[in-house]
Amino acid sequence: MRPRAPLVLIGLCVLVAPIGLVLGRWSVATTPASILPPTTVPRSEAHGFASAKPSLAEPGDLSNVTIENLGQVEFDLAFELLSSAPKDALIAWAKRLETLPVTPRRTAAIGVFFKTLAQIDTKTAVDLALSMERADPRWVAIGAVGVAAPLANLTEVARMYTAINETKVPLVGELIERWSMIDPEATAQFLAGYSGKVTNDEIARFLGNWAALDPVAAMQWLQETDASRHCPRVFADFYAGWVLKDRTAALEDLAAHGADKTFKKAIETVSETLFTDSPDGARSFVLMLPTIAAQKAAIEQIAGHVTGRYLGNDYLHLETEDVAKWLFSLPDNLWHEEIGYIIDRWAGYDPSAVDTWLNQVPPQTKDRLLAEQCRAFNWNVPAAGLKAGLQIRDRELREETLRGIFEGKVKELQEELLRKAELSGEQAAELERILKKL
Amino acid sequence: MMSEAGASALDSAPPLTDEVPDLAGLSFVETYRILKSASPDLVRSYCNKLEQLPLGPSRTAALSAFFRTLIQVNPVLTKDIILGLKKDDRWLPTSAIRETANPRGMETVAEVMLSFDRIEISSCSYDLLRDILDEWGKNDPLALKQFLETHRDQDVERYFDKLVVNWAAYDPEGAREWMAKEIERRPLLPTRPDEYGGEEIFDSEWRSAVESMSSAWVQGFLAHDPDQATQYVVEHADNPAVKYALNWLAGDLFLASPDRARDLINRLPEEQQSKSLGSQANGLVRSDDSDNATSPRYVAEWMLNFPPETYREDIGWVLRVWEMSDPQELFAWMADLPAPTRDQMINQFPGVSSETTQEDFDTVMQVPDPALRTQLLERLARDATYAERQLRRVLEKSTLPAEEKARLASLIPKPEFETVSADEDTE
Repeated sequence: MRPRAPLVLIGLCVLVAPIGLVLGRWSVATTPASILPPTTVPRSEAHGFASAKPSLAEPGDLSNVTIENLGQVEFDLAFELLSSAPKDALIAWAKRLETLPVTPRRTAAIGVFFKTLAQIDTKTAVDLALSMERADPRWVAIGAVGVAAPLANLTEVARMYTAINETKVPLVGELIERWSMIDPEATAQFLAGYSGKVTNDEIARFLGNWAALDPVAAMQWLQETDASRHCPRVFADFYAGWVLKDRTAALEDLAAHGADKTFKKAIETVSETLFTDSPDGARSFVLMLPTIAAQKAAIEQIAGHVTGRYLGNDYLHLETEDVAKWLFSLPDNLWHEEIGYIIDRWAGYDPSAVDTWLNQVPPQTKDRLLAEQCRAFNWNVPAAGLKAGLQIRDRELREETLRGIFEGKVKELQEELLRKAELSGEQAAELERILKKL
Repeated sequence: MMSEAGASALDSAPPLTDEVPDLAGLSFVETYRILKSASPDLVRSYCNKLEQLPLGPSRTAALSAFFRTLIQVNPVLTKDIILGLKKDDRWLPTSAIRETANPRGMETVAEVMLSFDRIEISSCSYDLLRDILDEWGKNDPLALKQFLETHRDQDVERYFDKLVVNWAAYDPEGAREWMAKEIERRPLLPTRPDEYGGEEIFDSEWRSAVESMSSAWVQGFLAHDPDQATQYVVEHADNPAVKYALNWLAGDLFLASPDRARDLINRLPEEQQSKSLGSQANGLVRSDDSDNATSPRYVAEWMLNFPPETYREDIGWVLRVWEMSDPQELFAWMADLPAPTRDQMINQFPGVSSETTQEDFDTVMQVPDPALRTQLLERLARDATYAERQLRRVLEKSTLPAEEKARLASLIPKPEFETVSADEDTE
């Protein structure tokens, strides 16, 4: 039986989380009474939060708004204050924020000020962020400008990162992803002159956007760029984008490269997209691929959403029945490795639907499918799988399949399987007869 | 002064139509004006039309610009629209509003995020909602408090520490009173000895939330009044909440004043000094900091203000960060240290890694001072327990004299167990 590695990993994660919780616990045994920090702090209205909130005499009243409490007013007021302020005032406020005591309040105030200003006047926000002298507030400001600047003003954000001249830490991923949604050429021009670090994942997202808008230009850039960028992730996003613009050309090109392992991830990514749009389209693509390995990569990527290969959520929300039927529509040399798991999963929650479907296929094929389902049985819930094996009509195949499952297992494991299988009297007798030959 | 484009956009706005404007290409001021003038029905209509665009970056850009602006214009309508979408379609707008929301819009962001399953927005290594609530709490802890109190049925106790740390920075006693009421409302279940000599814990998630809140309170108090908080910490150093908060306290204080942080650590009981100092080493030192406050050099020199037994455990991390960012500066600094201190640094120098053995060796070979270089090579050799084979191979290939190679190789400890590493297959 193939190992269910993903389920083991999930189990480990579930196990580690409470252990982490326990290890994170204080080493000293605590009683409820002592768990709180002792009180000793005199209440001071002057320091209370209530005094930090601006009390506004009427809507639109800016008289009590200070730059430190900008985050406590409606956006309209903050917008009005900053958009009407002369530049000298903005400069003075930025300086004042920088000199506030090092507290969460300073971080908050800087964040709000620069996020708001970046939306109204990105150029000035960039200038002020870069002018901050101390590293911590400067980085808070830069971060705020980077996330808040509108798409139309990203040239200013590019200017900011160019001026920072950071070479070790990748900074521009979000910038190039967003900018390339509306102006990939300008993004490419920026990248050509940028000496900082840009990861392949970031290049992938930039190129994916470009390929969705202008695949010819994106391909030319890819061909001319450094070979270190020719990695699976970049190709995957490139083709994912190209498919959105010109599906036929993209699939033909990808299929032509299908024998190259570097394109495996691209095949997987595109297959997923095709399947969610049209299983028939995905099927056609699989059949276009030049090698069995490439075809299996596509199939396993889709099947994995049902067999639980992916930790966390299945982000495509595929229906097991749909995947089973799709898989079966492919040549049998392509489905036989995966279909057993999928049918077993399907039978786990809708056995009658599985029976109905199986009864529609030719008997010999049905036997093969039952054998695959049996071989892929779930150790925790073996009933469906084992019963499928007992339904195989062809005696030789039935015996061979079931013996294959129990052969080599220690007696205790065999007994455990039989116990969990919940077989009827007749089924148990048949299985016992088969196992006698072990 | 506001940009001319912005000013003119406010003054001379063209009339609204049913046609969705090219929001991605407009300035924020123009988009803001459009959405502010539009009726809720027209806004919904715009959203519906944008959702119908073909999948691709143009659609993403348009929807992103739409929601990033709408959250500022009308957070309530934003929430309504997003929650009316199918769950899979909520990701893009959620991401858009998360990044730009003003604190007044953060309730909307939080509500939208709570519409996802926990596993979709958090994992072992991140929690998207926690980040938002932290930012919200920094700006308006009372609003956050109200939100958490009205959403108890959605498993939000895990975020109480984010409220408390930020509230205590403004009003420590108010925050503490609230904590006490929360515990009164939901008392902790007492633990019970188990058959293995440990303790059986009940309602562990709530207990963990309370413990986190308590230490977060101490952290917040420090931000509120460092002098008073320092005195408080020294007086109550044996309190569990205070002890746990020591993981962060000195580091937080260091950012405001390294001298104050040093004074605090010096006043703590000896057994807690090292732990407290570790928070600087691990959390603060930044290799890319041109500002002295958290550069490796500054932090290392600050740590040398303490006795070796206090800094010994944690200075190795600072030396590692320094070695990675500017090894020549580190080596020059070490060469200039008094001999006893230099020996301490050599003993704490980062060991060789099995994955970067050659690079680690090459770095030490660049030490200008021959005596220091030799001492550091000896250190690498003695500490190569988990990279024994790799270091032997590196030594063999090196340009060191044969005698020196043999001498250093003899210092490498013999492994207890034979291990097979992946890189052996590639060589």
